[in-house]
Amino acid sequence: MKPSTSRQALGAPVLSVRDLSVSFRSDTRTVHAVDSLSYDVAPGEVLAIVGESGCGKSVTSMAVMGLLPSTATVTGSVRLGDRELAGAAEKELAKVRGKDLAMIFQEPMTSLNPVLTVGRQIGEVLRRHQGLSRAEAKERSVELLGLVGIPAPERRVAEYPHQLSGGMRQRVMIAIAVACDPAVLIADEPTTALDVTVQAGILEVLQSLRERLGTAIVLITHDLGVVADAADRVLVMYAGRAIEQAPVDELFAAPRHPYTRGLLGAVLRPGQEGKRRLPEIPGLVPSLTAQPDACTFADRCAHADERCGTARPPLTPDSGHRVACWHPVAVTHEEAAR
Amino acid sequence: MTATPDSPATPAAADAPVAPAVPPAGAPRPGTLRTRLRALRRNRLALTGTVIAAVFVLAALCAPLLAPYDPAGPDFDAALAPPSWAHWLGTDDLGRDQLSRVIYGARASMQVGLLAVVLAFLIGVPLGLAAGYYGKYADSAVSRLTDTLLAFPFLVLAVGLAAVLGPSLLNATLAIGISQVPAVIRITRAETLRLKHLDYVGAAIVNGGGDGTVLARHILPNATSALIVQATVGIPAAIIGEALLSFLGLGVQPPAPSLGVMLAGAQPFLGPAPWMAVFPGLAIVAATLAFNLLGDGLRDVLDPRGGTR
Amino acid sequence: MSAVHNIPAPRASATDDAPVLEVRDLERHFTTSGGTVRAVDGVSLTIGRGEVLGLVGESGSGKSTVGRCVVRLDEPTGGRIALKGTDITHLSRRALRPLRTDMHLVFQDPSSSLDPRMTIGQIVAEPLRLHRLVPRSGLRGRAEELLGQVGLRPEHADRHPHELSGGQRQRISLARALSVAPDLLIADEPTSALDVSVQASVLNLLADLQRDRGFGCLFITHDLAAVEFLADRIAVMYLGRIVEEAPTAQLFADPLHPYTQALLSAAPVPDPTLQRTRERIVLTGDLPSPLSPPPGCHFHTRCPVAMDRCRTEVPELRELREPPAMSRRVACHLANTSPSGD
Repeated sequence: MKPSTSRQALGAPVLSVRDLSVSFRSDTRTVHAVDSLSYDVAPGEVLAIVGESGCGKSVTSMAVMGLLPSTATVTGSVRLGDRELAGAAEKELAKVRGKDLAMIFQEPMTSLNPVLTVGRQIGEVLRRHQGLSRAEAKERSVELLGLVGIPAPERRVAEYPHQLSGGMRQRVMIAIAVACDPAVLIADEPTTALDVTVQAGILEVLQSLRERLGTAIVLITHDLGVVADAADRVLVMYAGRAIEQAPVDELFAAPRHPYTRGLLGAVLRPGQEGKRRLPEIPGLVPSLTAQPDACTFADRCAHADERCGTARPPLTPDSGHRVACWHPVAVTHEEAAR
Repeated sequence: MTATPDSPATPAAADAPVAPAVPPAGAPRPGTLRTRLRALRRNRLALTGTVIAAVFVLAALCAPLLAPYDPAGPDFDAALAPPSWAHWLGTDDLGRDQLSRVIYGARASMQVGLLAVVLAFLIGVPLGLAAGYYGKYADSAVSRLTDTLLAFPFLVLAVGLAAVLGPSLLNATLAIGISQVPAVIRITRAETLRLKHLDYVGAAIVNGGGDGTVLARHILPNATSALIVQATVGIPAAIIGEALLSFLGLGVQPPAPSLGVMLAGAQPFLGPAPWMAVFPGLAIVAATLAFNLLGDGLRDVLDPRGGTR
Repeated sequence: MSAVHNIPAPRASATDDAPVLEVRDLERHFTTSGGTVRAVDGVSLTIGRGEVLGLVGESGSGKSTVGRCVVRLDEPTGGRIALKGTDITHLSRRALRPLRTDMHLVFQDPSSSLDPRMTIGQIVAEPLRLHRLVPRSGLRGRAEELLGQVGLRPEHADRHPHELSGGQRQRISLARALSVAPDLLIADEPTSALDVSVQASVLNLLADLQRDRGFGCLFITHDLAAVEFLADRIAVMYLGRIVEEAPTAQLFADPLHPYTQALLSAAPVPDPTLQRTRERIVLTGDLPSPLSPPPGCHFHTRCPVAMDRCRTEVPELRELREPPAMSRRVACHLANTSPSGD
């Protein structure tokens, strides 16, 4: 489906996140949504950030975009090319957002303005960032709609969001996002609100964008099927921390963190289900109000010992497959063979 | 911002599904009385409103104990006295103590306010529930009734009642209560319409609950916060209504004190004795504002999820 | 997971041989200002005792409406619904009440299906209280017992729904539904709002309970993997109609309807190596509006193999007989009348 060459490392990272931490403070408590997260994305690469609800994956992307509310405290570094975005002035960020760094959201209806035509909304971005004239912008809008696979773009460009289906609206959102040929596209659960047959189309569009425009994509999702389909590399988050990071094939074939292993075991595989019993992960996700110097998964982990409860496991420095665990699962022969 | 499962806009909600099975001891659980009171305290304005409203309720309840003078007893030697140690708020043209009259006036106001709202709820809530829950004929019948009530302006209704039954505090209360019925119906109906499509109401039906169970156990209790807020809007409206009717001579009859009667009586003396109008006026403003603030605060606090959203 | 024990078996009744649920030509049409929406347009299905039927479809297919009609939270505009042989299509709400112990429902959204003002104990015991199955004094004990059966602790009975996680709430929904030992459970997307690892435990629980208590189940979902895990038979819906129905293994091994094929191919498999080798059928166009469904086969506007006949003639849901006694149904002109030779 996708050329395997695209899976190789593609040089210097275009987006580089270092020690990103985000906490939300209310007067009764502080929630540590993201805890010292680091990752790189290379041009043309798809990095999937995976985790269950509340793990901090969406907060991460909002922090990268500089879209968090003022109740959030953000520390760490976010570098886009050679520009530092963390702590940059809102004016600076506004220049970058939508131009070099774009984002699409889960719910395309609420992200589009209902009283403006699709063309106007794409054109607005083009005119603001690229200074195109009205006519040029319109022409380019039609082109972009074609690019994201919307049939009859000349006609669709004059329509309003409510005239489009959910899948079409998400395509329009993508068209707006890639209008200025951004270096990085952050896609936050882009297909979660869509049906599978529609999702298939959106995934193809993202795939072709990365191939044709070389856009790096940060794909945030909870759906391991989508990860397997679209990602080159995967970052697994648990309770605000990165716990494992690996190329997609390696992660699925030989997950080393017990949580990743549990997650992959629990997921259903269509077309492969016998009447087996699904493996479960016992216990509940910990509350994020504490930032313990321990493994956050220790309470639920079968391999946990005293050390897991008293020292926080660092992400192993090895650049390929990294895991934050004191007792990573050994790779079996069978898995190594894959 | 979209409502992604871990949307940062609601950090409190982000960890809702991860609440430990047993909350650590000492940490107040959301939704308990303690956390609700805490939330109410957080909101300064709401707290101010609550305190003033409480003062009014207290004044109304304990008027005979608090009032330093007989509110209706004239003392011609002290007529039109400005505020002084003897008469904190001064006296009126008949030498009656203004403070005592304001206290008794507040009593009349609270009485009308509460009774009118209770009346409006007794009529409005069942009608609103029926209209919202059964729809169709019940709904159109009730909305006809609402239209009819709305067609009579409040004053016309009050004047009409006064003409038929004679002017009195009770009839003013009736008129005010009836005039509030449409608003109560509207709120109850809207809440019922919203709630009846929720899954837990569906679950109640599937559980084998009849209409009575569904309405009394599932819809009405979940509509209470909206209704209580409506009540806190209704009370000040009724207080103003009472003042207006009494001012026009359709409510409390002199010499019995009421804030409206006092305002009416103060009219000829605005120049020489402004305190006659200022203090009852201030009392009306304070009472109205207090209940409105209280209502705003309650709106945040009455969410069973603990008001964190 | 706790052992599932001492649960009363489904009550025997006079019509023991009748299927638990029989739906014939069910229609649910809504009249709107824009015309008639045919949300459900002639659906027939049967669920035998202890059988799990998966009803699969995407949003707008009408699958949830079928479920709501069966429990009569929605009023069918046509057709017939029989619960254990009793026609309940037009029974009044009052007349239906005694029959409500025979069927129950688990909703999709665990945060809206539990009354936020009630305690868990009250919620779980409510059906028992309303049907007077357990004396008032015994309600609490019974509720704790039920909580134990779905893997929760007795002290949860004093909590309120918002104090629990999504998975725990869905367990409470299940405990409530099973409190009356129904013969039919309608599960409307019970795991769709849950995280992957939580989904697994709820599905396991549902499978355990179903096996131990033997209730029939209409499992409504858009999740093909979940339905494969749980269902004995699967019916696929598209725009208000069933397009294909087959035993689970056969449907996955050999889908006959082009829509089923597209649906199966579109769901990505959580295995990158395998996923890369899969052929994905990407459907063109959008789901047509149910206000003006296309004539003929509803699917022809997006079907990769549609022919002229499909545009005019509605394909009948035909019975195909494959290896003896294996019945499957498909509504497609192209599906071979001679049962699949490929």
